[in-house]
This record gives sequence, C-alpha cells and structure tokens, in this order.
Amino acid sequence: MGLTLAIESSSINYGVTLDGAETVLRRDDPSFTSIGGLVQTTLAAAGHTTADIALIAVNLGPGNLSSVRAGVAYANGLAFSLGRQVVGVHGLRVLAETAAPGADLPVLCLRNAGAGNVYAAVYEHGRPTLMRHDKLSEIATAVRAAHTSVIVAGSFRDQAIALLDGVDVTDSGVEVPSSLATYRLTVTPPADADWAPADVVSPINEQTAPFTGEIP
Amino acid sequence: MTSNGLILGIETSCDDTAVGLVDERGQVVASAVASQVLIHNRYGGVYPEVASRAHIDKIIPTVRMVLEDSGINPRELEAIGVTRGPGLIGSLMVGLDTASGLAAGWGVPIVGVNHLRGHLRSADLEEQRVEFPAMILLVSGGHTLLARMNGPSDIKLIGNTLDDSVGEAYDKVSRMLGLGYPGGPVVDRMAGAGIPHIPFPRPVINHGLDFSFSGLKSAVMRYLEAEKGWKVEDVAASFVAACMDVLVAKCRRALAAYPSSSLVIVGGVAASPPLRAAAAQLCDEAGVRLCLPPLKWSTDNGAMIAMAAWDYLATDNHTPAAPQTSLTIESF
Ligand SMILES: [Zn+2]
Repeated sequence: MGLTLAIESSSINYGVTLDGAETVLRRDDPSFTSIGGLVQTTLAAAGHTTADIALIAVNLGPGNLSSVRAGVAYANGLAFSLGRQVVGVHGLRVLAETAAPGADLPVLCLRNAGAGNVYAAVYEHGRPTLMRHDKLSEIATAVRAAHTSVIVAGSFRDQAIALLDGVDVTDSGVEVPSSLATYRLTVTPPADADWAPADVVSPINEQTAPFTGEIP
Repeated sequence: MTSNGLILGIETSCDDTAVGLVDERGQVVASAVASQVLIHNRYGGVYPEVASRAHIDKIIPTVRMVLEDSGINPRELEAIGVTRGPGLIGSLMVGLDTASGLAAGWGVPIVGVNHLRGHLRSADLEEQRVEFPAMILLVSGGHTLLARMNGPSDIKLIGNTLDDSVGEAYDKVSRMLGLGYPGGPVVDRMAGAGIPHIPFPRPVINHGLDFSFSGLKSAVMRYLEAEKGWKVEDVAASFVAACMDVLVAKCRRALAAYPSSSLVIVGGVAASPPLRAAAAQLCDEAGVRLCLPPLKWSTDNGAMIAMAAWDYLATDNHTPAAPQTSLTIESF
C-alpha cells in the first residue's frame, strides 16, 4: 500500500507528514530551502522515494498567502508528475483539527488576514457554523451571540479572549495548523467531509467560495 | 516518439503561464501559453495578486497540454528549465514550486533560468537566425535594454532603461488616452492614423546607450492636461515617433560602437510595425542583418526558457530554483 504525504506551508512552521510521522522546519531555519527540499529529506530519512507516494494532501489556506501557494503549487506538481491525486483541506478546518480534535465544544479558529482583518470559522463537531473574513471585533460579536463557551485557536487569541466577554473561553494554546492534522483529515475523513481527492487544487482566500458564499 | 534530448521550459514571471518543449538545436516540439490578458484588462495592468492565483490554476493544465501534444514520456526529459527571475515574486514562486514538484515526481533535474536570457535565446527557436557577434534590443513591458552577444552564453549588457520600459510607457500613455490595456497594439494602430506633429521630448537621445521613458510619459500627460482639442491619433503618432527615434538612435550608436553581424529585436514591443520598419531601414544603412524572430517567440513563452536552459547544461551552470525578483542579463 502506498503512502499518504501531507504538506503544511500556511505559516512559518513548514511541515511534512509521511505515513503518520511529522517533520517540522521553520522557514527561517538555515537548513530550510523549499517545501520540495523538506519533502525530499523527509522521504530519504524514512527510506522512501516519491514513487512510494499514493496520495498527497495539502492545507489550502487561508494563511500566509504566498507560502500557501508554494505548498499548493508543489503538491499539484508532484501529484501530476506521479499520476496521483491531491486532497486540499480548508486551512481553518486543519487548525481546528490541530487544536482540538474531536472536541465537544465549538472551536473558534482565527488566522491573520492582514489590513486589520481575520479569517475566522467556528467548527462544531467538525462542521463550520460560522465562516467570515472580517474585523476581530465583528467576529467576537457574532460568537458572543451564538455561544456560551468556545475553544480558541490560531492568531490573536489574547485579543479574542478579551473581546469574548461573558463567554466561557478555553485557550487551546495552538497558534498554527499542523501537517499531521491534514494527514488525519485525509486518511480518516469524517463522514461529512467536503474535501476529496482531485487532480489539482486551488488556494482559499477572501475571494474564494468559503468566504464569499453561504455556510452549507 | 522518444523524449531523449528534450527540455521542458516553464515561464510564469509575469502574466502569462507558458510551457514549451525544446530540443538541443532549438526545435520546438510543443508550446502553449495561457494568457491572463482578459483578467488583467479589468485592472488596466498586471495585478500581481491575481496573476499568481491564475498561474496556480493554469499551470498544470498547460503542462498537460504540452505533454499530450508531444506524446513524450516526461521521465526521459533532460531537465525542466523554469524562470527564476526577474519577475513578480508570487508568480515566480508558483512556477518554481510547481516545477520542483514535477521534477521530484519524474526524477529529472531542474534548472532555474534567467528570463532575460530566455528572451535573447528566443531568436534561435526553430531556426538558427542569429549571426554572432550580435546586437540585441530587448523591448517589452518589463524591459528595455541593449546587449552584446558573442555566443549563446557570452552576453554583455551595454544599455538599460534608467526608469520605465518602453512597453510600460506604451501602457501608461494608452491609459491616459483611454485606450485600455495592453497598450502596445492599440497605440500603434492609432498612431498609424495620426500625424506626429507634437514635439514630445526624446530623453537622453544624444548620448550613451541607456534609455529613459518616464520623462516622455510625463510630457504626454502634461500635454493632455494643458492643451484642448487634441486628436488621440496625433498624440499616439507623436508619442510613437519619439519612442522610435530613441530606440533607433540607440541601436545606431550601439552598432557603431560594437560592430555586429546581426541586430536582433526581441520582446513584446518587437511586434510594433513602426519599430520593425525603422529597424529595417537602419540595418539597410548599416549593412547588418536584421533578425526579427516570429512574434510568438518574442513575447513571453516557455520554449525560450527551455532554449536558454540548454546553455545552462552546456556550461554546467546549476543555478538554484529559487525566486529572484531582479537579475541582470549577465547572470545565469
Ligand atoms: Zn519577458
């Protein structure tokens, strides 16, 4: 049976999970060259080659715009050249899985969107009940109106907690998503997963469906 | 068909997603360009954020098209040549990271190529046209420069723009005249119907081999603001006449300083009918062979990157596949 390779490049912590084992390398580490370089060293250390890869998974963002693109471009190229498929998972879903897998409480996931905005989602049992690109204060108002207790993950957690007056908040302590979470969501997807193997995948930002359309 | 002796070239430095497959003699086995012109029309220019996103969506389908057209086995490629710069960082990254994924899966080497070297080598795609030593005028939306070529890899920069490229000046004047983007073809068309009676400046025409177009662009803007009743056609014709006078004067001076067998004009502005006519006249006078490669190779394309990548293999230049927003023509 072939391997599943999961790629994380949406923050400064680049990560590769191969067959359930995660390697993380900061982008500013002197030994970091590119996401391709990290995949190659991870494969070599495990005694594998690209030919052993059966499926590739990648975080589609939102997150650091250009590094998300680097990961997605590499994943698409590798999948095409191997004749394999690629699974793209929403970056906030990956963050929820990183911070609080299987949580009973709603998980508020936040990523910095720049210009004073955040990407925000609330996941309840893995399903999004809020998905917004907005000011953190607007997000806090929406969360306060809908929830009495949440777990918070991602950027600006301290500011979010301060704004969530009257809500019982648990700080997950998790700042960024991990490739291990993308790997788990790909290898054992929940029954209602809205991600599936495809030939190519595209990054997610404020102009793409999850942030412009309605919550399904 | 066997793919022995082929390089796959990938170009994403600006707003075109381009892929080409070229053999060692410059024969183009397949080539495809996915243009973003319609997308960038809306913004009146190239919007980097949008360009990079469009590259992600178009690059794999474009690679697939070229491979299907050629019927080759990509695992037998000599290498993948991919533009490493100069260009827009986000666009370069998409090309480089995609190429890195392709190279890893196919098990072939990857070469980071200087886009400007691609333009220079485009003149010998499909047939050997350049006679060395050659004088090269590269005129495009991103670049305006003169280079001396003694051989495929022996390149010396002898003149460069101090500010805007001539293509940028065309685009900006086109916008001032309400003619849209891209500016080149429409400004030339308007110019053909006008009289060049407005005495716009010819910046730095009388000395050196460097170019400057921002003063000319500003002069057009001042004229449009100050004067009434001007005709779009006459403004376009006067602007184009100023550009052509400068380009031809610099080429004439370059040919005098560096006796050459051929004058090669590449880049998107090489499509300009007035430039082609003026260059033909200059080469006649100077007794130099004029080399105007087909326009499909003059604008950004993947075949020229593959063509240049062969020079990297020949000279053992293993440049890293990392993005460089600026690179001189002399760098590999
Ligand atoms: Zn170019």
